[in-house]
Amino acid sequence: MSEARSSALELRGIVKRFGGVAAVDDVSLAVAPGEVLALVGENGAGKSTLIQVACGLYRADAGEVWMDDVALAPGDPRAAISAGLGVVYQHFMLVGPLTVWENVVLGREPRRAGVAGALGLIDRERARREVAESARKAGLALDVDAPAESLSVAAQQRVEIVKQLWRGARVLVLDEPTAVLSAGEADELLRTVRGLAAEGRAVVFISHKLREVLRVADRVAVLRRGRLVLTVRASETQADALADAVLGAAARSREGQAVLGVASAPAAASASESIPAAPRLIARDLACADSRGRPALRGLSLELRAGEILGIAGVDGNGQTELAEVLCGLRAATGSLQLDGQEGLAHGGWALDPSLSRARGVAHLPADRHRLALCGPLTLEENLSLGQQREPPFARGMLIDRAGRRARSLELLAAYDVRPPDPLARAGDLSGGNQQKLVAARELAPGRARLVVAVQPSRGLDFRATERIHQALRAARDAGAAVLVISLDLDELRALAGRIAVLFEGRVAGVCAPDASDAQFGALMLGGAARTQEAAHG
Amino acid sequence: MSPLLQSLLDALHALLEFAPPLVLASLGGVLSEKSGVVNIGLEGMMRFGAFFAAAVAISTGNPWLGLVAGALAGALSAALHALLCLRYRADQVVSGIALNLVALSSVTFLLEAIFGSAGVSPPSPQLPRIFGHSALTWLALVLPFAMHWMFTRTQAGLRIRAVGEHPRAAATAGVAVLRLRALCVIGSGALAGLGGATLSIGILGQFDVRMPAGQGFMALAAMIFGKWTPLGALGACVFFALAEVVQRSLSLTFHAADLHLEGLFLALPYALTLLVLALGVGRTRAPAADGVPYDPEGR
Amino acid sequence: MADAPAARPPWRQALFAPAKSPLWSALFAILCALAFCFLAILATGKDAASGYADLFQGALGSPRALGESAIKGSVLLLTGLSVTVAFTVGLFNIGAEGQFIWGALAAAVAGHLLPLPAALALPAALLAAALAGGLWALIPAWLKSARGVHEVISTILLNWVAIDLVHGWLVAGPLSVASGNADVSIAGTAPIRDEAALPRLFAASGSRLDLGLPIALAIALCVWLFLTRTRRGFEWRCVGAGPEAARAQGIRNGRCIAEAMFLSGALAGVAGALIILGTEHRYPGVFRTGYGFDGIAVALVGGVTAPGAVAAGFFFGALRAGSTRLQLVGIHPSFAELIQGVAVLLVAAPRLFAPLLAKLRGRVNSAPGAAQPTAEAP
Repeated sequence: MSEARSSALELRGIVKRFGGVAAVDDVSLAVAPGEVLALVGENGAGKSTLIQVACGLYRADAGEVWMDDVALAPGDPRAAISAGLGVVYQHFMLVGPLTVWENVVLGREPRRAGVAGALGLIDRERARREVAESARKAGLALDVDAPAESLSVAAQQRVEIVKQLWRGARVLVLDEPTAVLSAGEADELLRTVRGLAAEGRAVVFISHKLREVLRVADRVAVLRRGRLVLTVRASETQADALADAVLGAAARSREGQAVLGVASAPAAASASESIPAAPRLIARDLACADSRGRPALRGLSLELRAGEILGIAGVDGNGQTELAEVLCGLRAATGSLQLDGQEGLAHGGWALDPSLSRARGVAHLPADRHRLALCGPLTLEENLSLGQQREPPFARGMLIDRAGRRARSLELLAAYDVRPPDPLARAGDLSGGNQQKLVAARELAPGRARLVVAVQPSRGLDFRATERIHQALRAARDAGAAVLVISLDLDELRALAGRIAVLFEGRVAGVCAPDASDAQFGALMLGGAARTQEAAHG
Repeated sequence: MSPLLQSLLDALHALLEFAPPLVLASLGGVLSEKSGVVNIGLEGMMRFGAFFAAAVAISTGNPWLGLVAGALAGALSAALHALLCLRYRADQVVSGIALNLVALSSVTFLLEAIFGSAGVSPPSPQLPRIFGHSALTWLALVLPFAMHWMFTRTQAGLRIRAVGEHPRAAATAGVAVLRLRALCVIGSGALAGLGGATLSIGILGQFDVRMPAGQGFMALAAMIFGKWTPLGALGACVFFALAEVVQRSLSLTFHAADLHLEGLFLALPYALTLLVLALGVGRTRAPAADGVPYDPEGR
Repeated sequence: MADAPAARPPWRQALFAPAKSPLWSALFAILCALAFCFLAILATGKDAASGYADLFQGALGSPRALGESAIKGSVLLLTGLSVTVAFTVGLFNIGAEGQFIWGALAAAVAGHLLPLPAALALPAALLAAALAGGLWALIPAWLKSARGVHEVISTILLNWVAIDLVHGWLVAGPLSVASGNADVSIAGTAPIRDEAALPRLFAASGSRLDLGLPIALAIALCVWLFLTRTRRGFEWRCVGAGPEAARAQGIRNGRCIAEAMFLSGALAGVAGALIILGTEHRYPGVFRTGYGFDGIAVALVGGVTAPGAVAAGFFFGALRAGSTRLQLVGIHPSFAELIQGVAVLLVAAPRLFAPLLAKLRGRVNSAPGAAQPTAEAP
């Protein structure tokens, strides 16, 4: 392992703190040219922070970044870019209204010669040509004149990769690249990655999905709570060992396996053996448009019973968001939607307004919890009363019942392990995991929910918080609610759901059991004919 | 020449009197907001520009120096706005409002302290006129096109647009976000200052304590109406200036002053602006990151 | 370039860190503003010390002065409350001036026309003022909710429409008390009936203090209780703090905005009524107002809270009352506005405002700068 060639990228003793907490604690790593190094860890372990230090977006509190034996100036993205470091972020860094070529050349725009160039005039022909050329050489299909916001997610990722290649990146960092891709697209990406490494580039592949990592990487480095706990060759290790390094003993749990993508045993339906025959939620031919007016749901039908968890899988953008919004009264739709026999979309229906759907017992855990579920500047106890602020124990008559609200808040904060359990803390100051626990406490604790709609419930959450949330969802199911979990993470759905429906282009493409193979899910996600294990109305 | 042609020409001349200050200030607004910083303080920056242009022109006897002073005054006050908003992440609307308040009172105070007047300054040397209109007028007509060219064709323009839509993406591409925004804000102040200078040393020939009498806000409305583009802002300003011209001639025609109906006519341009904004024009998207403080260490 | 907030010298931290309490930062801002303006006057060669002494005399030095300060303070606290209430639902109501003017006019007209006995005439005039101001404020509320027009622009434009229509047409024309008279432009409207006037308090002391003060304080108390203690007030705060979350939890944003803006306008309208019914007794032909604009400063310096608006309102009222005496030392009365402006700037300044504004609808509790990425940042 101690080869004499120099490292393409080397991190020495990096430390980065936020407000007293060390997100990265004395991490040292090296990647050689032509090598794929996987950086593994659960959400919050410090992987992204480490990379943002490396590329100069953050300034480290201690330690250095070296490329090809030259130290990089800290906190200078330009220096990192010039040295050949390219990063493809998990949340794409594309400017929507700008075209593909404009996004790629931003910051290094080729200029016309002469006076015009001195004024800053961009050489558009050259830019377009070079970008198209870079894409072609890497085998990535792209329309250089399309506005970035009009592209599919996978296409946007290709733009991000071309962006780095055009800049001559010799070290390429990919941060959770497969999180937003379907199975087929992910395969393609892994092939691309190996191809790039074969051309002599160093690749850092960040992920928390161990199966992928073992397929694509030469070496694996494991981060846990900001520390580097293991560095090993991929050929010399197994998923189990890695899982242990990432999560410790918790890796043995089903939750741990789901988080790391190594789950093979599906969730048992557990306590809900006695599922009543009549469905609680019946949706028929739901159709609606998205926020841009394009059709999102195109005749979606499904059924859900009390005491079961139905997973909704699919590539992002196939109607999942809109489905959740329709169910919670936030989006108009046509078709038929019945909850406990009550029609939601007709005149006076419960799905016409959020207050009505709440009154009917619909609980909503949105993906963007900060924006849609919480009022950041308000306190925890105030947020816990949202949606029920007119009723006891939060109110008495027209006035707020402060004592009642305080008592109830303390109960909920303790029960759901929200930290800090201070009713007067600001909701906006909480970490993502604690915010989600707060939302879950509010929505699920009363135990009166008839329908729970959870969207991406563990996105951005670390293992412990994920566990708590999943527990809460199962408890809601056991208490008799019908639970719908919409997620882009198939492993999460496998851990939670009794049945998984796959959405494609606004319709249910098929329904599978959780133990169906990746290939089966993949085929459905791409619109393949449904060879389902169970009938769509299981 | 026929009376109709004569009155059209008169209208055109009046238009060329009223529009330039609006256009310059509005371009300032566009520049700032395109880079993602809300600038409600245009009114105050215009006021500083108008006053200092007149004051320097009067004391030095040179209108060109006055012009420079006006632009500088606007730029400096914008620099304060930039400091508060970019370095300290103050709320951009509040900072702009505060700037307007300070400009309102401090200029009144200075007018009194320096010239001993509560109404108008002494007459100031005016900028030379070309074809009957000051040099700034012609600048105001050319500048929108120059700015359009900058935004669509140059490096700087591309980066400004990126910074206003998705500053973090621009940062990862190596663009110095805060510095670029600061430059745009200061530039917008200089433009607003020039707009104010047009009022005092370009058109009126002195400073009036009421200047710019709301034109800074009309410039903002024109920016919104013009969908945050330089050419759109030009069109919107011409439209508003036209409304002003029409209002004045209607007012004369109907002998509004004698009938004490002046107020009705004076209110017309503002009401028209509101109507135009209400007709859904204002719904067009501002630059996505407009008004959102950029935190280099944030998410 | 990545900024590094890491090693900051302690004195800078102390100076610029957000205050735990908005009232302390307001006090700090006011003191700095006073100091700054003291220096500004010295710089122009005038006698700053006696200027300030006169200011103090004019504000607090005699029963009459106290009365003036109290009257002006009452009006300013109401316009400050007006802006504060609008902030609660997340709107910048810069239109308090226009709402004030319509309220004042409505009070003048109602006070003149309505043939009611004393016990009813006053409340009726106040109600008319509240209605006028409230309705005028509904316009920008509708424009925002239904057409997405930013309220800063619409309220400012409506201010001018109000000023032009009222001063330039109604008061000068149809409502003017004189007609066919050379002085018509300064005559104003017909005087209000005696029954509608605000009764004087402590009239023997020579001050002009009237019932407006207790009325304003009572209103402030009610508004404060409403915002902090009732369910509806809480819902307003949610709309301001997190409009999408509020909507998703079933709160009717549009209705809350309309209600809050109506109240905001009504408060400004009542402020206008207090001036008319208390001291002017008619809508004067020449009316130097600016109370509405000052309300913005009052709200901001008061940390956008109801108690803050009361404190800042009285401070700025005292300033206004005292500043008329500044002319004795040759300092223009607009100087008071300068202090105000600088105070607002300081309050708007360094780090104070972003977290402050974010906390305004909630409790001021957590430590400054706490909105940092945590260990769970990506």
